[in-house]
Amino acid sequence: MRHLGTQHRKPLSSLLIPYSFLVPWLVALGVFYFGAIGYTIVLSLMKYNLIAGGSFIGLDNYRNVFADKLFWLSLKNTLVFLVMFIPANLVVSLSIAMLLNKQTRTVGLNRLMIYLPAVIPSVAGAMLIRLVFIPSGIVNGLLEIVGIEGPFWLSNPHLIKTTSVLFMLWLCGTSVVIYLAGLKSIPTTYYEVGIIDGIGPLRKFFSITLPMLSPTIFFRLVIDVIVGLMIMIPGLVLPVPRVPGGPANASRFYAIHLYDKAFKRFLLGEGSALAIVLLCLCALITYFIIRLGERRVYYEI
Amino acid sequence: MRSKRSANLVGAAFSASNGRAAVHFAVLTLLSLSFAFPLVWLLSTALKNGAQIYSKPTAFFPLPLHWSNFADVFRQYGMLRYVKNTLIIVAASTAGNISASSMAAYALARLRFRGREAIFFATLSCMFIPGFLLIVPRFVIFKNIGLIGTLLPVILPPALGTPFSVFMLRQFFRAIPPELSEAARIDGCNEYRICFQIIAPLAKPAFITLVIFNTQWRWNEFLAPLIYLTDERLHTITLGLYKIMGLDAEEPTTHMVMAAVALSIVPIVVMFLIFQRYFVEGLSHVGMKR
Repeated sequence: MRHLGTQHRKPLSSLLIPYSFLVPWLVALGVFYFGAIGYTIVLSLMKYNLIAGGSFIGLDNYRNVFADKLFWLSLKNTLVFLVMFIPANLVVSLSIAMLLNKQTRTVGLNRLMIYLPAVIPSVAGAMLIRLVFIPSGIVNGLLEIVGIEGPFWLSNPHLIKTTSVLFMLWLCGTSVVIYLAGLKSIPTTYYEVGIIDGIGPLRKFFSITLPMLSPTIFFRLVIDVIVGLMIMIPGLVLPVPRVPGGPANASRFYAIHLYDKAFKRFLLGEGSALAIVLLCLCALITYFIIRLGERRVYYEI
Repeated sequence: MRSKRSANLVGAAFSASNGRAAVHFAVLTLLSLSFAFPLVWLLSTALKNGAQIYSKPTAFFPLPLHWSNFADVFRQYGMLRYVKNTLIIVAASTAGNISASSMAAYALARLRFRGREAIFFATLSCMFIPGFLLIVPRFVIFKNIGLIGTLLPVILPPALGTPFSVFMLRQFFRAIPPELSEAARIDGCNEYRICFQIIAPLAKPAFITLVIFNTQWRWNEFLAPLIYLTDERLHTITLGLYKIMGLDAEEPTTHMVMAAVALSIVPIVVMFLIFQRYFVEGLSHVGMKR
């Protein structure tokens, strides 16, 4: 196999070897990630038709996006959802992780039961939650026993976002596992020093646990914002009656709006403009979290 | 105050700890029961017949159990085809994902070349792009090259590598001592053999984790199939569920729908129970510092 000539060519061919490993991934990066984003920008400036192709129309798509009342409604729905979901998820996941961080006999089983909803298909999960929250369902049945008249979780426009948040909290197992790993990595010596200094549980939490965990929390917040901005399945599956967008369009989230424009009405140009707007929004929120993180996050040196 | 506290510390902690442990146990038990409850309720509903669903009070353990619901779901809703399509997607995209990602990760972790940092940074930043936004342009690309109407639009993107897999494997490969590669190079091994025959076999735990995650993601995936697989013969299990749910206009067949939901959940839950350790370890890798 080896020719004499390889000795001379070796520098060049060995320079290329690393790139040969990267060929499939560079194609993916170039086409499916960065290429796709670039193409979205191009498409957002076009009137695009699947059969006839596209023609440039400047910023008309963006004008149409912003002139649409449903756009503002879906944006509002998504932001309201985000404002409820982000803090709730942080508190719930972190509390559960702290509960699971104590070594008890049943802790393995508890962790399993809490994580299980996070591994099943979300569509299936949403159908389960729907089954449990329908008016004749078990949740309202239990409330009735305590003497409370159960609300219409799935058909009341004021409640459907809360129910969506509850659904997402049911899936918090992933965050719990990540926080748990973070808690386990805090050296116990810090707590031992705390005990010697005689600090209470509150001080212990705010002076040791929270600062030590802040890189993990920060990472999770960024992921949660991305997940929250893309929320779609609860809005499609949960509402009674099953209209995508829910009662009075109260669960018409941004992703559902985009899906409706791009793939139901095939307005691919306007859909692309919606995607770019969301990308900017996502970048903006992430940027603010990172700026906040610079001051608040304690990285170990 | 402080000295008194520390003096009494052991005694006080002992008497208080019993009470606190009981509360801790109660809270944790209640929490885990409420998380698991919908899954148990699902099984109960899936085993009922139409009459049992509407009987009051609702039976938790519905006797007789209607196991035939599961067979009926396969017969009536064509579940077999959904399962088959999903399995094809899982197998093809997982095989591609792991090969492509490990090659990229090997280069990024263990070779020196110009542009390495830039490519790694690009990989990292892709993890923070909301995946949903990539679906519109990808749809147009797939439509233009004529792949809409096949399973390939769902298989191809993950099969060429994903940021998560590349990142995870890179972290894993970096932890393997460089002396191993050096020794092999001195013995005249080329880079491809070093990658596939020396380093890759050492990363078996990482591969198992990725097989599990890939299977879970593709099995559970909803949005990409919803948009790319418009042809009904190509529907996957989650699309099938969504369709079955739509057929069920005002729940006369709730038990059947729930039997279908149960069938979609069982394989992934069984996989999780067997490989629990890898799920948890894999996730912890990502939450950590670099």
